[in-house]
Amino acid sequence: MALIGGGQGGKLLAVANSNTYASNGGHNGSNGGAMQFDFYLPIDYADTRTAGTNTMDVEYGFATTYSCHYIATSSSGSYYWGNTWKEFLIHRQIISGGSAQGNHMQIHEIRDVTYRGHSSWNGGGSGDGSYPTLAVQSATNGQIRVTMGGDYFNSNNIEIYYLGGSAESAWVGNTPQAHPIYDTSIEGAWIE
Amino acid sequence: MIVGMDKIKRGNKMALIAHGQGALIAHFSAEGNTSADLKKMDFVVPMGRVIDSVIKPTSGTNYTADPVYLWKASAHADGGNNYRMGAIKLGIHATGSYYHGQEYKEFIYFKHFNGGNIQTLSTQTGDNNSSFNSNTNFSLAIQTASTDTLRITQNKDYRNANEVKVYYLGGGCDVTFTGRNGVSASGLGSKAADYDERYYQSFWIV
Repeated sequence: MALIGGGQGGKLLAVANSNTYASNGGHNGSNGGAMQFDFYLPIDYADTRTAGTNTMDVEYGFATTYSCHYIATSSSGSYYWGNTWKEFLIHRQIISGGSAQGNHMQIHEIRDVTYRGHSSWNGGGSGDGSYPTLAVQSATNGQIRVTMGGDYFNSNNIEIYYLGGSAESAWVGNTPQAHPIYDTSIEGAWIE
Repeated sequence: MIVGMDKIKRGNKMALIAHGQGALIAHFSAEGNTSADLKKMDFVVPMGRVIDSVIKPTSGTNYTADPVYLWKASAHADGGNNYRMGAIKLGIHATGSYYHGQEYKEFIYFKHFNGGNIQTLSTQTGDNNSSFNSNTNFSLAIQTASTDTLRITQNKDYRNANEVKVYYLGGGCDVTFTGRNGVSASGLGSKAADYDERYYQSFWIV
């Protein structure tokens, strides 16, 4: 299927399960702690994109390092089984000069929904549960750290989906494609 | 696309949703229904069911510690090693043209080897005729979990005046975000870059 992506790639950003890794040792999961991994937003992190220099170009002066991303996490457990869906908005500004210079990146949880097949899934009760959590690991690199949990230490699974936003790239998938060319030449005037 | 931008970004290859083909995955009309029975519709959601469809790294330094590699090695043993549990987000617009009305709901379908579940994420209701909302027959249920077949029931309006459209809003996809480097050796996480050379997922954090 690749309904989204036109058959040239999907929008699955990351996956993980804790049961296989739990047998590898060397991680907090085997000690009952939360397990973590990092994933990266599909952004032009190297900031190679440039805007046109013609003042008639609608992208003239365009801040190419600003972006926002809407993602979802689907976490599930197989022991204290259940499911949690969370949606997050992540926005990023890289400002290179002036009083606001710096890397600015925040994560906001928009909403979530949880189903508890077992009453202990994700903390139990009627709330949405505390897992997973996302945290900015590197604004420069668009790097997000995921802490997964909710079930027994070796029974957690997670999939992370890209729902939309500023990924200004081809979802190229298995078909090798070159870097997209950003053509900012003018082909028309503003629409009044 | 930025609103108001009157130009085409040639060569961009920006993949809009489904390459501009939209995301309407199912719809029905109750036009011509002479039965008093509810009109229902079954449809299959585009859900990845097995992890075999996801590409994993096959070589490279420490590639066997890659979360994707391990995910595929034994993802969900209780449902079979190839079983995959994900979730899909759907938007469903139910309308009626006689006692006019419209309602939009977003649902999450959770796939799970224990049978799965559907949760309502949100509901928006239009300026409906009071008769449109006289019952609650707008629902989504799992019909056949093994094939991800869902059943929608919509009978909020007169029996031949109901319509439904189902939109795919994300999730459940069975293709990794691989990029031009495809399945080449990663050495550090899955090779899942798009137009850059990065790895899109890293090792576990110890």
